[in-house]
Amino acid sequence: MKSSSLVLPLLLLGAVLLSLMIGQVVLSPLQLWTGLWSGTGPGALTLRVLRGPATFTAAGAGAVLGAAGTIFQILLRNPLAAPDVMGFMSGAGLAVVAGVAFGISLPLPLLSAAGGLTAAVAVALLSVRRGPVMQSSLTLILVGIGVSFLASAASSFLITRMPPQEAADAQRWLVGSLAARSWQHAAQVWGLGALMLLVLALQVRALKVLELGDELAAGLGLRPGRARNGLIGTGVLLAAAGVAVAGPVPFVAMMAGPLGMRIAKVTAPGARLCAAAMTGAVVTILADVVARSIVPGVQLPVGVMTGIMGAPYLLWLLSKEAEAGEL
Amino acid sequence: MVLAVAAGLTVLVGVRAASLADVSNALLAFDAADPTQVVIRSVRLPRLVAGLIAGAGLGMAGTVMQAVTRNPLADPGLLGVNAGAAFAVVVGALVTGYSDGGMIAVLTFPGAAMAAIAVFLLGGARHGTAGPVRLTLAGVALNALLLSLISAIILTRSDVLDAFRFWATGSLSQANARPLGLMSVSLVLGGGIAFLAAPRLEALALGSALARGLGSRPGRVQMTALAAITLMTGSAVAVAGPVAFLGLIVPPLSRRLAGHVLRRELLVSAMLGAAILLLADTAGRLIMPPGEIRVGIMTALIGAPAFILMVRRLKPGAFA
Amino acid sequence: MTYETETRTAGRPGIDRRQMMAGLVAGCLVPGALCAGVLSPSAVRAADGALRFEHVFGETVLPGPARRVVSLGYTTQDALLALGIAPVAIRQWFGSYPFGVWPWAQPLLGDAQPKLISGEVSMEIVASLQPDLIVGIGSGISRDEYDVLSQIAPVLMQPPGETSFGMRWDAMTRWIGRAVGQEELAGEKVAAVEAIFEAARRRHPDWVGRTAICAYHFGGETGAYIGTDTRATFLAELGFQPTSGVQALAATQGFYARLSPEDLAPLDADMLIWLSATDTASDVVALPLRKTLEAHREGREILAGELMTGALTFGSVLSLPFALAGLEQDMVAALDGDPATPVPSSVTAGLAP
Repeated sequence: MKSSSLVLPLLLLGAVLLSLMIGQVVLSPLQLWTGLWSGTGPGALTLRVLRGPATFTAAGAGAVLGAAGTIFQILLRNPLAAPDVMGFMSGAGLAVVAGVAFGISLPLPLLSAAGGLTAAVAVALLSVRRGPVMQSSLTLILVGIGVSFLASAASSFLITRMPPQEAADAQRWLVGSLAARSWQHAAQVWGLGALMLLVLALQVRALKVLELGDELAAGLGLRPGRARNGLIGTGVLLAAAGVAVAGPVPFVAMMAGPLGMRIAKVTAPGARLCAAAMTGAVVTILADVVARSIVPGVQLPVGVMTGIMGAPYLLWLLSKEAEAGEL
Repeated sequence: MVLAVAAGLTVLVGVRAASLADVSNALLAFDAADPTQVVIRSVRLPRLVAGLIAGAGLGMAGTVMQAVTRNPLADPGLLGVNAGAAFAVVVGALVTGYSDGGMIAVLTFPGAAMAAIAVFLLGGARHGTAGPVRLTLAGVALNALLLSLISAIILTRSDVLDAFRFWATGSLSQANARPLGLMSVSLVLGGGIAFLAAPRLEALALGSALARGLGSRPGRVQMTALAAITLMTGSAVAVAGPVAFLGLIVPPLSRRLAGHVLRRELLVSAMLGAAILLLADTAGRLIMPPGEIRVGIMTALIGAPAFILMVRRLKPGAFA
Repeated sequence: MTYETETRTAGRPGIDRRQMMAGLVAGCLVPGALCAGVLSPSAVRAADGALRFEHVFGETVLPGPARRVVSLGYTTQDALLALGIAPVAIRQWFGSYPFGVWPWAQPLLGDAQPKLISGEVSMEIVASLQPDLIVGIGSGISRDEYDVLSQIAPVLMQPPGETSFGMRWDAMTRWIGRAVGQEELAGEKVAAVEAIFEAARRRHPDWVGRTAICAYHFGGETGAYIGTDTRATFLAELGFQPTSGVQALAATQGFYARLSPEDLAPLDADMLIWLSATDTASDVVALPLRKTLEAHREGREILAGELMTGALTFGSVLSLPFALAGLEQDMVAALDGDPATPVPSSVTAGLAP
């Protein structure tokens, strides 16, 4: 087993530990250990109530977002493709805000899935044009950005029509937040995530074949259009599962894939997806740790941190892509 | 023209009915006891002036940006220039504790300037390689960064929250508290610079090497353009807060109306920008009285679909 | 409100916190993932003398009167201080007073140095204080936050039927009084404040039936406080009524009625109090249509500056008498029917005609 494949799991373990230890109050691993077994003391409370659920929810949300981002990056052959850039997550967010504004009391995952799928369909329909794959992938990305603008504008509009308390809550949620997460949230994202990852596992072979190009794929017995749609659907639902539990956290979906690929030194789609999931989990957990501890006495939402971390990454990626002539 | 209609609507329409007679009285024979005249003079007229400044400024800034970057998707809001101005104001409020009109007027310019420079460099416009995707994403990244930083500051200090709350979306409702006179001067200055530099900007569109061959210095021209954009956007943001998408939709329309001469385009952009902004503002005021939908949201609701439309129109070669 | 009060045991010094914590944690070991909804501390065996509170998020049981209290509501520290409890943590709302305690409550703080919680509630800070009670009335916390907090300590929310910021100061004082074992004292404090207002009404019988409005101008938006908002009820307690214009608007909106800057006529009352976060309120002074109001021309405007606005906005058992004492002189001057009498706060702020 290559040593590079151990790095990510170790990083993940380290991140989880760090997240359980660090916050407004720092605990030692010993305190956590005694807390785990004795059920009393600050360690116990931290594990059960304060940081345990948040850490595992962060891990789950990061994993599904990372996997989702990588699916699109592989399908579109472009590291700039990601559900957060292309409006799927904004669409999911809009659906949830609309649900709150209009008093529709469907469960959040359902609303967010509906919003994400609608946004995906919108992007697909609005991008229809003839031309080689590369250019249409850039069109998709740009149309996706447009759809995300539209979703944000609509969300802002709905928020101005809401009473102040609900408006403030909606604003907080739209930034991407892991505050007050319970084991229920963690179970939800892990449950839905596991389900979708299972579906994804079945689709990985199709992904590998699609990489060869549509004609070859068809020759090998695959229906490229159907396979692609299936993968897109899985990607959107994975992202929606993340949004349902943490709000539309920006940049994780985009960063996880390339970072994971670099750390674990893998190239096959299946391995890339695993690496992306783990990297997404690490990134989200660490962002949350920083968000809740960096300013004493104040709990910042995780989305603010990923925004501050992710934007420079995107800018760096853009300059690299431009140099490589990919843009 | 459309602008006259838009201006007229702004002044005549609103919660309180007003007639032309009221308007002329308000301007010429002012009676401070008549509420309608007070409304016209002290509420709607400042709105009108602010709308003119902001609309013209954003329309012209968009035109210059699109000319310099040769990119139809350039817009001060999308490229983070508005966010830069807002960020400067928030930091100013944080450091000094003031957020009155004077400080705003001073801070929006450096903020807009820094953001404009950043986008230019990051979008690679210096070498003329700012493809639509690269430029747009650079703007998205810069916006995300600045807005996240602003959020972090606001969430940490609730006093800054109060100052910034009204800066989150553009609006003409605080027009009478803004330094309108000063900003119209800076707008005219910026517009003037743009006007003077226009021919050289057009030469730039032929490509840097060719332009240099024709005797102009691309670097200098770009700096001049940046200065003009900063002045115009800074003025706009100072009077109306961050309004996005205006700089996106106005230039293509004005190109249709004015042909391909940059100077004429600038003039038309100014008028068209002002007209659209004022109309959006009036619509926002009429839809749900007595409250109003802020003009920043109105332009976003119109602008986002427009963005998608323009993406669809991009020719395949334009992605390079 | 349906609640039962068991007979109270005489004040035991403290609850066995470790036992309660262990009980809570044990209760939570039931697979959290399968528990829908609230994980309330009712898993703890309630001793005799337990205090039960039925509220909007469920039921809270206190084994005994609370001593270490975290005050998450934006104004609940006033009720607690009035009842002799210094909270271990206070939620910061606005203003820059030490520990978030305003002048009307400062004498009651003593040497205590509560922790200030601002913005989003940090569960870690609350947990580190090891409270016996968390007061969540008027805090705006969500269901999710309640669920997490109630695993740290019992959380008190408002009774069913009340909105998070709509509970009246007297009901809130009594509700909290029960939780800290000071029901009688709560009753006395409430009665004292009511007596103060009664005395004011007797001093000024001419105020009954006159119209009065508390108005604000904030960020380009002008409006009036209505209905059950503390600032509207303050005026109602003194016998005033809102104007018909505001009453018409009140039919459609909640705590405050937004007005268009073009039509301030609903604000034209016999007495108009402008609330401002500063003592100068230059933006109110600059409001164009204000000068056309009769209330302005006849010198019937009052400016509630930073301190008075705070007192009115808090609207608590401690701040209301403070507000009345601070504003009464100005109100007399405004309502004396003589435009020539200067209203001190207006003159200082530049509002006077």
